[in-house]
Amino acid sequence: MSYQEELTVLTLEKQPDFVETPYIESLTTRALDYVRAGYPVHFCGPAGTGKTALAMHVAARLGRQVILIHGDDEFGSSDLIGGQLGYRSTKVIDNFIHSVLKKEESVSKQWVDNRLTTACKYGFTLIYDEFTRSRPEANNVLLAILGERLLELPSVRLGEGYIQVHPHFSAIFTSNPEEYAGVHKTQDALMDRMISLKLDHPDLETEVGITQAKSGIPWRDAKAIVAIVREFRTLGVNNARPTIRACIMLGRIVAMRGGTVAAGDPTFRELCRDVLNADYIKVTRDGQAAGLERLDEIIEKCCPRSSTLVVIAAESPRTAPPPARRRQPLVNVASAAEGAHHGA
Amino acid sequence: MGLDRRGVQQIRTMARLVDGRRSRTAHGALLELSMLEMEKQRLLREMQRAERRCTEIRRRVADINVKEQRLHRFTENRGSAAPEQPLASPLPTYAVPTEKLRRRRLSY
Repeated sequence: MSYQEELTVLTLEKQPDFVETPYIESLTTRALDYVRAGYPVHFCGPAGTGKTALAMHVAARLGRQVILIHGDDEFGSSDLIGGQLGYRSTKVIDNFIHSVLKKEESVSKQWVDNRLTTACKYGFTLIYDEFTRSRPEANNVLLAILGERLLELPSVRLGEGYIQVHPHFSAIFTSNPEEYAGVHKTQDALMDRMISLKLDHPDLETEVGITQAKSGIPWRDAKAIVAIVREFRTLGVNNARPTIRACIMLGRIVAMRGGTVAAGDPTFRELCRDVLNADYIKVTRDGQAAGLERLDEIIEKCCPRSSTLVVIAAESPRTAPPPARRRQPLVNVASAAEGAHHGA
Repeated sequence: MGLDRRGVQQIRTMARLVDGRRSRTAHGALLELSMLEMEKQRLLREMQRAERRCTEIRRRVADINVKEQRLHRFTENRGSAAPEQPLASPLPTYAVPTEKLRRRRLSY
């Protein structure tokens, strides 16, 4: 018998700015089909490809309570299934006869279920995010859960020691590629029990939609930012970075400033240099790092020279109030920027 | 020693020599009578023990025959005639303890 204080389960809700394009809908439908057929789903891919958001979206569509676990190198089996984490002490003082004092005291260990046990026992949906950051031996318990649908608990636990996994239990995993720092190899037996959907960077429509939705900038500006990031991404060695997070960073900062997405805006150029971090693009020319030079070329190629629109403050002043220090007439800023650029 | 020469009859004792000496007189005959009676009693007790042992052996042989028949039936109908065992109950399933459940909303 386990001692359980309180169970905290999550009810996932989609934010209004969650973007659903045909690309995302296709992935979601496939994953839902696999989960409903009784198979765990595993989203794997580089950082910034939307694995965690997609896992949450699929879990929300399943309509059951969610238990969320993030993989960690320090995890052991007991961090997943539970352990002897508490004590129960009872003390009886019998002074029925005033001259006789009888004391009885007993201390017993208490088994406490952890999240994986809770999910298996009551049929919640488990999201095990970045599960390869846990060591493989910590995840061994998943083999029987996913294969035989049986959770085997240590013998120290009072009670039967076996728990039949609830029929409504389902699991969604996410992971980064093995070459990422802090990621462990996974046992083949575990990978064999799940259906892995390999995610790559989303298509142009999805990236623009997400950038616009998360930052609030106009579609045209979002498209220009995404074009810069996608073009810059192709210069990298493994084409993994910058990701859509860089698009959202650029969009949000532009919106916060009330700035423009224009090649002639030196502020925007500096912002791109800071966010896109040209250092990890290993492009050299005559022995010199040419990342920034290539970035300037991409900005020139993907952005208009100047922009005459200030739509952010007018469209959504509630979400992105521009600071006072940047409140200048846009035409002046653009023309000044253009002049500065030509001067440079 | 062969099997046919085993047993009480084959045991050689000094009894006949004693008989030959003592049966010439009356008191010798009485002594011999008492010895014969004692021997007869000993042999009768031995017969009773042997009969009890035979009864035990026959009972054990009957048990062995019954068990052999059961094992023959098991090997001929493998699976259907397995030793009788009580039906195992399935592992329990748990209902969500709603009174201990704390729900939290998470937007993604």
